[in-house]
Amino acid sequence: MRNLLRADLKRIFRVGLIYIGLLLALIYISYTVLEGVVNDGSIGLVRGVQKSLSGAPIALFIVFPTFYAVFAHELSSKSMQAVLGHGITRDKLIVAKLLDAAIVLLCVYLVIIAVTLVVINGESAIILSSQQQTNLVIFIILRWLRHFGYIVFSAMIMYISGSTVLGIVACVAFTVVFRLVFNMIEFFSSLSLYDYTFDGLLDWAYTGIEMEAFPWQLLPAACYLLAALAITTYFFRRKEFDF
Amino acid sequence: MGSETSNAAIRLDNIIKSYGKHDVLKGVTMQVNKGDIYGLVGKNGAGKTTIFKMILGLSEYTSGNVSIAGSRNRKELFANRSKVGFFVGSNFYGYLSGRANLEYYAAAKGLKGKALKEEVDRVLKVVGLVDGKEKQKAKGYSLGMKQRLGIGNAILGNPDILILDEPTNGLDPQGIADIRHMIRRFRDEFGMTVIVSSHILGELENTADRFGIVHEGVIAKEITQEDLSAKRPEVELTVSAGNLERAKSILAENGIDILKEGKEKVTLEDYYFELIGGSAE
Repeated sequence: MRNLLRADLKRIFRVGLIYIGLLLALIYISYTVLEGVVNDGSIGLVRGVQKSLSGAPIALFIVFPTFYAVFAHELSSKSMQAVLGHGITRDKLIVAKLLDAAIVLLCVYLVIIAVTLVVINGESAIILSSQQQTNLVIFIILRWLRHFGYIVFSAMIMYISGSTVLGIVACVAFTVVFRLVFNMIEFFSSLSLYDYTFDGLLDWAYTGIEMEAFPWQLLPAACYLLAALAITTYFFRRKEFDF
Repeated sequence: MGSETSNAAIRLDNIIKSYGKHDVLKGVTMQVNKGDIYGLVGKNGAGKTTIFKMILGLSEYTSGNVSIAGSRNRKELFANRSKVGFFVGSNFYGYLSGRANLEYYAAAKGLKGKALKEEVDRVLKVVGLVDGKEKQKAKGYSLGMKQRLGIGNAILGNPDILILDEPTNGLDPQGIADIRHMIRRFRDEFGMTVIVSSHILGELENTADRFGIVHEGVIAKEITQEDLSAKRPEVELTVSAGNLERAKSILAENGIDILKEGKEKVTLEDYYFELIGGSAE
């Protein structure tokens, strides 16, 4: 599996869309952060980073290119058949693809964290306590987890349906309209369903961390990911591959 | 049975594959021996591709048993699949070059550094994707080049067993002749056991030395080149047109009957290569 992971990452990092997405993400973050700093100084920087990473545009710039680079060509290229035929088990293939996505997404986020830290430490007018800096990094890590979750759920839909297009549609839907749908449900029915979703649990986990409480909400959030993985492997094990 | 099995590169015992109530394979039993070029022939939909899927694990069989390189259980079967290279159509990433595609699969097989580069170079040379062709993006390849790339992927790492599903599909005469030549080379030079399928009977006749005839989900018959010769004990005698009458009278004087007389014509394939150059070999 390690060999497949290494080969796949090398392939994925040749997809230009990742770099275009990262560039757009950095421009968007810079704009939002500068706006925050101009208005509110140091606290504006924190809010700027949080606001930019919470929005739909950043998800589109990061999640969609990552999903596209890892999964878009999987079904059409028939590379899965080639890899499975060489003796890699189906479970390992799924895990390898999700690890690919996690690693690529992590690399993108590491660039964002590095740029953020450089800006914070390079600009003397911005003074953040170490606690604020830690919280900011935790916030970014939780965003990474959230975006990885979107990819896991989208991959599940792609593998079950056998359609790359459906996977991409799901990916965009998770990143753009997911929150909106639950806000509307809450508006019309007063049901706080959002709090029990993957997104909602991660929001509460971060609130807990800010209040120095144990972020137990991460456990059910992880269960969401494991459930998606279990469902994906269940269907993938039974999948008939065509040549 | 024991020695038969020990010489088997691939063995299928009573494989049944059902989709609901419909049996696609109805008890396929076949054995491909080490060093064979085994031709799997049958019309479209007879079950050739399904047999390959069962061997490669891309589809689960309903009942029966598959053994690769003497595997005795599913764990060994999984492990021994790494000894199989296969071509099942064009399976590559279009946005990568031919070389980058082979590098991807070579790395996935565990090759690294210098060994990886050398192996990819060797394979590109064997399948004739050289002189800059290997640097072009695969999506721009002609069908023949795509087939070559697919076969290149199949022979990466010099597998013991090679499975080729309709490798000449859609190719021009030169392409077909090249692939036929390659298949013989894989066995004779690289020591591979080759299973190749086609629905064009004449195509495999000159390539394989054993044949499995797939019909309605079973192997209706397994035959060899010798069996084909034995089926027709008559011999052909070719003489020049000027000597025909003399030859006939000599045969008649010696009490030898002529069963059939006809004028031999040049094959279309020979004519084609004579006209445009190149060779079927």
